[in-house]
Amino acid sequence: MKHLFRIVIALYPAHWRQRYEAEMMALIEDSGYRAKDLANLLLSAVGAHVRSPILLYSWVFSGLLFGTAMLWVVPQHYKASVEAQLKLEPATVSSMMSHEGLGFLIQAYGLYPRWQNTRSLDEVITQMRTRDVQIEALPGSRVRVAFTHPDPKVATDVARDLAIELGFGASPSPVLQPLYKVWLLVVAGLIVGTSAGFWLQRFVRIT
Amino acid sequence: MNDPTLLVLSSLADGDKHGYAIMQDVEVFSGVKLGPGTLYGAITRLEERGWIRGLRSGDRRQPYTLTGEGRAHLAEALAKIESILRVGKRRLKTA
Repeated sequence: MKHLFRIVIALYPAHWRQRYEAEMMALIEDSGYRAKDLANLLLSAVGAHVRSPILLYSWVFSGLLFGTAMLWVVPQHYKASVEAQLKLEPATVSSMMSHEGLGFLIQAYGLYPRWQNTRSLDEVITQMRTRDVQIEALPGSRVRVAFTHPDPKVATDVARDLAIELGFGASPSPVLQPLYKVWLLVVAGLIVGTSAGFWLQRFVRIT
Repeated sequence: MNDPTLLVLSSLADGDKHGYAIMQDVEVFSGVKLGPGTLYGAITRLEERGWIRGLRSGDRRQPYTLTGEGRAHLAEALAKIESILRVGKRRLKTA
């Protein structure tokens, strides 16, 4: 039990242990090693970390660092898009966005494998139609077609097929654009920042 | 009243004590059993605010003393509590 108390006290920030560890251990020796006190110490150790400014610095610094690194290294999705001067035929668009048209692409490229077992094909097609496929009419009779997918190659290939279907010509070249879920980066940054702060405070004093 | 900082200040109001003595004293006069983490959390905050001060000691059990500022803060906090008690009791009687 004494060993456990030592482990929990080691979780306190370094500056706190420097000042109070010896007398805290003396107090625990006097009052006895009780499980209830161990839990109390654990919660207070978290409180001692949260009260320290280093945690705030770590949140901000590590969060920014991690978030920025993620932005450059791991985009979550890619949007491949092609633009061309084209007269958009409603019938062609309807055919392309139809159950058969999108269903063919889903099967040909094995899209949405995680949804195949949990959702019906209709639901998957609706999701693809409303979320991942974009057809925009631009000024000057231009049309843009785009497809978003986590794999850049799949995004490019599907966008190219959609463009061919719409009449963009034999081999359109989609432009690839990385997309990020900012909230995910912020949450990941906070988790990394908090962990770094807790870990750092065990060893160094920055106030 | 179970704010650990007020309990610690009240305990030190009648003389210097080390951590374990504060813990025992608080339990006797208030019935509140402070855990070691809660007690030292309160001691840390009180020292940071300058309301208590550690005294030199050759022992690991360091005694603490109430500072002038700590005494003034305690008096002010207790006066507020007394005022709340008075109002509460009076309203209970008239209800």
